[in-house]
Amino acid sequence: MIPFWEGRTIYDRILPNVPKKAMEAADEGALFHYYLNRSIGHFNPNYEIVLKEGFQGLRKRIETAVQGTPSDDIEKNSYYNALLIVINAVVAFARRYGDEAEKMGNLCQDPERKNEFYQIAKNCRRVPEYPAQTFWEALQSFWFVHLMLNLESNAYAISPGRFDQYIYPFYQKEMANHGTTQDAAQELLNCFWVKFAEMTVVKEAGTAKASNTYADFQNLNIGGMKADGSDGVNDISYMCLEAQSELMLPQPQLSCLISSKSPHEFLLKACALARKGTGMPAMFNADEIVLSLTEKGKTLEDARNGGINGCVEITGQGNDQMASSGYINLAKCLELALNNGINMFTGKPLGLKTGTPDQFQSIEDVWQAFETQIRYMVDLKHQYDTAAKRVFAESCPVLCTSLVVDDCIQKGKDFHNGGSKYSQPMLSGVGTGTVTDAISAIDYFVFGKGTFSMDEVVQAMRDNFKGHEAMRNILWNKAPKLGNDRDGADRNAARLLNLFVKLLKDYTNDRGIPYGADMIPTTAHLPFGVLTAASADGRLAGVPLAEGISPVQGQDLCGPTSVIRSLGKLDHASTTGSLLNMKFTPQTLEGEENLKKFAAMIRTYFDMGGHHMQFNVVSRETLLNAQQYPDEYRSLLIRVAGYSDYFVMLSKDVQDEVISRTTHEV
Amino acid sequence: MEPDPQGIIFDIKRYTIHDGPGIRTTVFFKGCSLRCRWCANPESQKTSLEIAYLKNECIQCGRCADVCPLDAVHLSDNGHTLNRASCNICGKCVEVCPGEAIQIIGRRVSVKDLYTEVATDRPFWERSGGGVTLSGGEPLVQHCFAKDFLKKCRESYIHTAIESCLHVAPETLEDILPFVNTFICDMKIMDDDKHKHYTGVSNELIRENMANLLRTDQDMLARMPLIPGVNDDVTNLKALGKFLQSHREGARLELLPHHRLGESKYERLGRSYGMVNIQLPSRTQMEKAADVLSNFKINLVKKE
Repeated sequence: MIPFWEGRTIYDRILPNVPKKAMEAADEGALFHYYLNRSIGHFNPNYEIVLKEGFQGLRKRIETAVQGTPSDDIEKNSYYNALLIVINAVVAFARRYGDEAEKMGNLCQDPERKNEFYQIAKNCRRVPEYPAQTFWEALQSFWFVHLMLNLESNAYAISPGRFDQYIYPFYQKEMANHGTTQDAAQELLNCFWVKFAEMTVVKEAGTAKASNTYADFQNLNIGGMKADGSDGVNDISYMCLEAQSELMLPQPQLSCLISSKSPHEFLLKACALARKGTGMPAMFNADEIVLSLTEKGKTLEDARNGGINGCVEITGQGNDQMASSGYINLAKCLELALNNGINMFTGKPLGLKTGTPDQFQSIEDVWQAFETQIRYMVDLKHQYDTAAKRVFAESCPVLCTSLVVDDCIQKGKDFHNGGSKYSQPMLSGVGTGTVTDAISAIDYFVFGKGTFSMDEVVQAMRDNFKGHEAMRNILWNKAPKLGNDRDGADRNAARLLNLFVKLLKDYTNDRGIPYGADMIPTTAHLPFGVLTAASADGRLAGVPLAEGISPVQGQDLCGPTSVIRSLGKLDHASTTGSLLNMKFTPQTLEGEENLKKFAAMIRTYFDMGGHHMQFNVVSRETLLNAQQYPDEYRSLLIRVAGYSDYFVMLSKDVQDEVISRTTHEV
Repeated sequence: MEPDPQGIIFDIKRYTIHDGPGIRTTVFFKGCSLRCRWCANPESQKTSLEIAYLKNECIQCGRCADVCPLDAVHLSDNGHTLNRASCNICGKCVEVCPGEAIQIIGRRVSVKDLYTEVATDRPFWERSGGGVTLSGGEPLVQHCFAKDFLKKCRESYIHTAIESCLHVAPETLEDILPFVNTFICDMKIMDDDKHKHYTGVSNELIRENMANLLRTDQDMLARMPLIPGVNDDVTNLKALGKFLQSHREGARLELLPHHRLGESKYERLGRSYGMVNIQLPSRTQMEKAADVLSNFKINLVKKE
């Protein structure tokens, strides 16, 4: 570290105010530290306002706001002054690109390319200062805004959001005037697409290692509905599918918002892209998004204009601060509940004393102890967050961000200091599947059948099932599991979700807004798994937790419709997002008929109120892995000729045969 | 109250996509009147319940031997052996086996319970134009049960399909006809002697039933598993083409490449597979067969 920064970093300002217990809980894997190395971020900027009005328009808005501000309000006036300085800086920054492009044009021999450089120069001198007039200018203007935001604070999850909605008018106008052709526009869009992949954010070593990627969370939404509730799918929606289909890049993160009014063609084309196997697009239920946003206090119009930020989080477009606070390890909370607050790894207290295992008389006692441990951890996390957010508010203004999030200008308040129109604090619960299966196993074998005592199960967990192999097998194989459409397990998942949603409402941010439950792990289920002891579902210590709300890896054995039925029983709209991962073999999705069935399956999940689905279409490597680690791939279904079977149930030579066949088809 | 008829099934597969229109839920009935040597579902052949032993899942804890009242399980260093003759499928070993290495193939269900179990997929059928498919085994071995189940589905406006080898009395077929939307019927070999040799039965009934179905406007897909050296010869293919064409011009036919995916199931059931030396059909062999059939007025269905 450069000596100047010793004692002056954001770490140094935040950490002294964090309770010691919270730091311990973070170090021991019960919760995640708050964002310390990157700015909070997590918003979908209002790109539209810059495309339509230019920074010139924002300048006017600021000047109007200044007029309404008393001259002795020094804080506000200097804030407005700072915003104006930033606007000039961004405009100058863009113009320098214009100068450079002109220079390159002068040197260029190829007349066609020369003209392109001159056009670029012209564009960069016009936008983002003035309103965009053409499709190209609109893309250029967007990009300057996006770049400025990323350069400003290295923030998390700066997501384009409802891209097709605010870009389309520029495309439409130019097409109507015969200013461009669809091919030319598609080429521009493809060039633009590549830019997202080159965006490099700075991460500290740990995060970089865990995420293995430079770019992240530039979630670009297409489809959905318009403010008046009518269908929002337009030409740009299809062109984005085309861009991703041609380029197959990891960024932007393409999300399709599917409403009951979305044309089936749109869904089918999205499915055809998903079939290609990049894990994109993710599918979202636009009707449920509106429901969730209105429940969280947005107006109906703002809810319909809303979309997805980051991974799967429901947010307003251009007016919201999601402020995800990181993660709580629900599986660790259960471990503490079963072990009287003692961390099974260290043997030292980490949670509250909620009773020894022999004191549990019924599954209700387990639930109660579990809830107490969750509440304790949420409490610590909340103190941690509050301490961190205060420092961000006081000493880390993000002026560029505040320019493009409503109502920061109007209020004269920074994005980090309560300027946005809406704010939605949230906390992610990790390990839903693992906890559901663990509680179901205890309920079934301890309090139901009486096969084992609570003491015996907890002792086996402490021993990581060493010397308890038979018990582990029974817990792993014979208890009800989430994802098989069995009420025994599914009810526990629903109860866990409701408990978490309700509990979080008791906590508010500095604006008095209650926390939302975000049922995603990002990749936290891996590091959390490492720090979580063996669990009562038969999972061994250190093994990854279940991710999102997906069933425990390899435990969904009754096919995709049962997974959907199970998770369709959860109240998704009460959360701020939930993540469901599904895996398909390419053969299952081959051909038009199968594509339609796949689309029908997605619609059915959304009929049930589901929030999100994403798909892995399985490759040869996965099958090879499945051979090597069959336990993790128990639900991988292989379809051949007249019947299906689970891949890992097939004999080795048949597996080899299936693998070779897959290669033929690729 | 009428007693709820019971049947024996051995599996329910969800999201099946090759056994009729839309997303389907396929119920596998136990029992078959044929004994095709290449059968990929040997667990479907006997109507009665059976024990399967999955050696790879066995942790050799010995609990099964401890609880067996008939002393039918014998432990050895290499897993254990089951004396199937003395086993009466009481299921005690299955209950205690921690690794699910011992399984009972087949379970008794009532029409009502089976309907309740599959109808959870109803939203998927409605969205995709799918429904229920009866497979097996030969579903019509359990004729009354199959009929009641099909009837229950049709009364609830659910699309039904049945996969049948058609080796049943014509009256049986007629009896279920009103409750089936789509028939999927196998024709293995046209030559009767060869048919007897490879499947254990004559194909006379099969031909009669298929001809009857083809002559009506009943929705039907004929299928033939293409097995090199058994039924891929030009004579057989021509005979099939001619047969289908003569009873229904434009009859739909699907050729399924033979596969060996059922092989490991034989070992689990303590049986041996009788077709180890059979080659899988190559793409060229499949195309060649399709070429021969393309000379007939039938509709060769391309596999998705």
